[in-house]
Amino acid sequence: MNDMSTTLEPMVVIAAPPPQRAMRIRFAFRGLLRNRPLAAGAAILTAILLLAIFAPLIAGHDPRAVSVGDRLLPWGADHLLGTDMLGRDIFARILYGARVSLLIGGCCALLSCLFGTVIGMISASSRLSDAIVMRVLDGVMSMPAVLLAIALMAIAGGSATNVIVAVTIVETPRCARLIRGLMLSLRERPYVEAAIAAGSGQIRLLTRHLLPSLMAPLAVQATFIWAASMLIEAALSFIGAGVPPSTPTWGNMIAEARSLWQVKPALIFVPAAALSLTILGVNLLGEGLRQAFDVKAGR
Amino acid sequence: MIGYALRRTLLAIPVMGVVAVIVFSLLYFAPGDPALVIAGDTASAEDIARIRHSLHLDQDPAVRFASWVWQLLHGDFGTSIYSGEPVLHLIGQRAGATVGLMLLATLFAVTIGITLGILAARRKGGAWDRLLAGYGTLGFSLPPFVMAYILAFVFASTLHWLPVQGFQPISAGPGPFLRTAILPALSLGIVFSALIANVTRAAMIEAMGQDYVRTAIAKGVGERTILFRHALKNAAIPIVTVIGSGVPVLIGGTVVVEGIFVVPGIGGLMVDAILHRDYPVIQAVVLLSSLVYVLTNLIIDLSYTLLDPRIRY
Amino acid sequence: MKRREFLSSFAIGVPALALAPTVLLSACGSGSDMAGEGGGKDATLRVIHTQSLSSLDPIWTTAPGAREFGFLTYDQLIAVDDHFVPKPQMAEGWTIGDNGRSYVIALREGLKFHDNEPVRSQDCIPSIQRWAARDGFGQILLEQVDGFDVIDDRHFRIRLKAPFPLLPAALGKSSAPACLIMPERLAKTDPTTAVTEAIGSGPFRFLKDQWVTGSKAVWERFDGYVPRKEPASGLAGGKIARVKSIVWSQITDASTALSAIQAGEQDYWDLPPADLQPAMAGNPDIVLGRRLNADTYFMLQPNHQQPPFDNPAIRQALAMALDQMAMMKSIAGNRPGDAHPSRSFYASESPYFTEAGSDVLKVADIGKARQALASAGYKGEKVVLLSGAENPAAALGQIIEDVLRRMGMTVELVTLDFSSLTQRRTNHGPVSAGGWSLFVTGWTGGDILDPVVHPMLRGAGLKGYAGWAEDPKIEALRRQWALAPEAQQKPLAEQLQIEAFKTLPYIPLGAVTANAAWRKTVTGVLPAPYGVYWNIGKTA
Repeated sequence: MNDMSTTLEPMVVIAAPPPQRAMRIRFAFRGLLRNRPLAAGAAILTAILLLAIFAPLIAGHDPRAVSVGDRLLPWGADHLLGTDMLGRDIFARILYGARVSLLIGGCCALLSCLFGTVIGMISASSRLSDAIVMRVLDGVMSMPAVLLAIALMAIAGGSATNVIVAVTIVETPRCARLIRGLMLSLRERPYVEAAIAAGSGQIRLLTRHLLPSLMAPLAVQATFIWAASMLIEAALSFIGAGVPPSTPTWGNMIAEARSLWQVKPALIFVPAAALSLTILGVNLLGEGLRQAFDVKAGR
Repeated sequence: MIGYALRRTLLAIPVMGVVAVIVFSLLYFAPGDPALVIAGDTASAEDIARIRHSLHLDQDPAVRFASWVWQLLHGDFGTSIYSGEPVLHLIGQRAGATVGLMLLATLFAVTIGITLGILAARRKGGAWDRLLAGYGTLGFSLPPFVMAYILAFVFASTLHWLPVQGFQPISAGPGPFLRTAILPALSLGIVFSALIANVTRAAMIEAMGQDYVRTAIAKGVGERTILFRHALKNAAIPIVTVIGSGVPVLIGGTVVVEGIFVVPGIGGLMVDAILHRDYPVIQAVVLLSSLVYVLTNLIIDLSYTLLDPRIRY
Repeated sequence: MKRREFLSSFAIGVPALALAPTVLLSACGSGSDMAGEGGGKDATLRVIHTQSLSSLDPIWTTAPGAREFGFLTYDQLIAVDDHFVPKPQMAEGWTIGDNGRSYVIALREGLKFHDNEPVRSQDCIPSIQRWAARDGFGQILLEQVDGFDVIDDRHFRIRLKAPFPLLPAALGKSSAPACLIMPERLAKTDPTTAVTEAIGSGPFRFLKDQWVTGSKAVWERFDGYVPRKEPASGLAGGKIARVKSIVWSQITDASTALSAIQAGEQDYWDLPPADLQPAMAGNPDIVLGRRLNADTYFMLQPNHQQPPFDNPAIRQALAMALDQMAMMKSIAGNRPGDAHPSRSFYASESPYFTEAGSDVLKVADIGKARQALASAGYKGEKVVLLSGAENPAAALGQIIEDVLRRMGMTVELVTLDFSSLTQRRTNHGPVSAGGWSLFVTGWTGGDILDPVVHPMLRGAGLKGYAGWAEDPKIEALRRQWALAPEAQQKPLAEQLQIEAFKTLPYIPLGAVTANAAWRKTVTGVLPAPYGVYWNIGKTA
């Protein structure tokens, strides 16, 4: 406890050195079969992903086509889930919304992990860089993520790219801190010390020994960031600082339906359910990965 | 111990420095020009220049940053560009509501979280453990504003048990406060309680595996004594840590939840300030919430030595 | 910043961004939920006020919250009645001399500011000067003014260079900023600096210590106010404070506001969204009715300085594509009767209203618009459409985006909060340099009554309103109108409109009637150009 490493992040610790390749495959396979959260999460996400990919084939309507005469229609054969305040098809908007939500979540997770790994490794490389990088990360992380994201969006303006940038800035420190912690603890491991003693080159050390050990906790971390970024995206849209409202996203749909909550609760309920289900899928996937890799993570 | 406390306190200073730089540069790079907002459509170029000058917007950024920090150190957070009121006055008017809400949410989250965590840790894979797994997954998957609407719909619109608005501060008495604060506090606290429950469970399971607890069990000490006297005491540090880490989550949640339940708090002030490009207010809110977080964690870190006398620094 | 546009008075506003919360009832002390119930002279009128009160200077900002605050706290020398006719208010009357080149204004006896100081000529003159510096109509007035003379405490003279029959209309203008009278020391504040005190002479006294910005505002009856003897009409007549205090609570979440008024936690809701009005219509305790004596008008402003809308033929093509009734019905929601077309540059409440020259607005056919666009020579330039993030601007923005797309234009919709929009629209560069092509806005009928108060009916190029239409004929006719005798004003206004439909400085989108909702216990709601709270009483 020599710094302020008290965050919401999973305190991930590697329980074992990376197993041999064959073992790893068997282990993963066995994990997939027996690991119920992993199976459930993967199933939910696969289903949503397929719906998102094939949205143009399934939707039957243009998610942006306004038809004022058809506003607020109830469920029916033509409009499976009815229409919204501008007469747009809700089912189509939910499907296309999945694309935006998954894309933003996925990009944020990927980019945060990428930048986080680089920054974490830089931080772990020397005492001086550690002191500097950690203070900067502490500073960024002490600002409430939602406040920081709103402030960034207010500056940059609403677009999907800017949401990704804002959320990545907010989430990267959490990942960097994880990697830095792992690197510091890995350096003390006997097999790493042995490799260093055996004269392993820096690159070889990194790719053969360190990176593989980082993959498991990183994957778990990625799911957390994925879920968190979808939540932040929805919160930004909800207060009107996210993606432009004509873009079908679940957060936008919820925000637009706010005023009608009491007379048309389904307008909020449908996108809220889609959002919650997707986050549930991601969380289950994360939990499953955590169990499969036997990463000890207290959330 | 005192040396550690001093070192730990000193460490907080560069962190706040980083926050100050980030907050200042965020708004320095913001495209919105407050002088244009103030000037309005009918202003001439000289008017705009005069306003820019009176707000010191025409100075060198380094000079502006230095004088800004200097004022902050003297407790001067500036004046709201829009309302003309001192920023600290605006925050003071609203801090009570947000702090009250956050405390109630924390109280709720700690009670539910620790109880569920202990129950789940008693038997790994048991009914409570599975309940916690479900509660946690659901809690993490429902955004606070969705939670807020569900609670409002059930308890206010349908059952009419609680009002949906009309927030009363603690100074109005515990009854009115609880009646009006419970729904927003619940919306904020559920994610937090799931977080605490998970950490409690993990820490308890680890503590239960320790030798001295096994010895106690072998000696036939009662379950209650083991759970509370031995295990919980040793699980205290991670639990306290996670409570500290919840501060930014709660602050973030208030931005969204306060609007739904019409609570006159800091979250609404922040959203309004961004709408009006009211720089001093935005800067002060972000800075102060960071400060609250840094201080909370400072206190928590220092309290470790009290919770666990084995920790020496 | 003209926040009166769009955040202004429509029944539909659900500001998504203005999430600011609100306190209710008494902020502290043991004033539980019961406070404010009960009626009579000591009652508290609890108002759900959709727009926030963030600044106390109604001259400096035209934000709708500040504007209604201004009319409640301050008073005008001259005010318009229900038919927008200027009537003496603080003034006892005025005498015109020197062949129309001198106005002597006499103040009523017994006028007092809320600090119990008398209202004097020395307060009125700087108030007029400060207002005129901030207002377009005021600037036209100032150009004609030769000087102000204090005759005595209750009389002052305005000397003019040439006769200016619109002087009472200018001083009595209802659109923001209106000429409100402040004490001399406040009125001498630099016009670009906001006044932070609120010492008015209106029927209610503002309690600044109970004000929570963006959340709650409280007034108390001012016992020193002397109302006029005439019945209240519009902003004129006897302003009688019938309740002891007024509390505005800003509840921006419409569902929450709906619950509050249904449960009797609030008495009056100024802007209930149209789609929620049916939910209240079935409630025997709630009345839905008009609070404004004019409709709310919506406009689409093209950028005349940049392609593609620098091409008048493309502006005409765009006007052909828009179906006013479809757009307005989307705003009026379940009350289609509240949606109206607006095929005029003047409000339908205006004496100058006419549909002359408006044929292009009757087309409403995307197919024809697409052909017209092709023959106008549209080269696929990107169109950036700005709209407010709040409804109904947000809804209109999305509808128009869809129309543009179907016309075959390349379009990007940018939604912004209102302050950002007012800033972004000052950029007259190309879209690649942060400029814009179109924006959506709205005004109340009182704002677009005639060629002089109308902020958007201009042709002054870069000196005019954002969009910078260049049409010297419009500017000449406007000036001619302002100085013309009354008999010539109507034909001149019509001539101006016919010219405007040729060059389309902006495109009218239609109008919507705004409703307010109040509990049965609330009496005397008075339709006025803006929400006013005098004359409203409360029974038990």
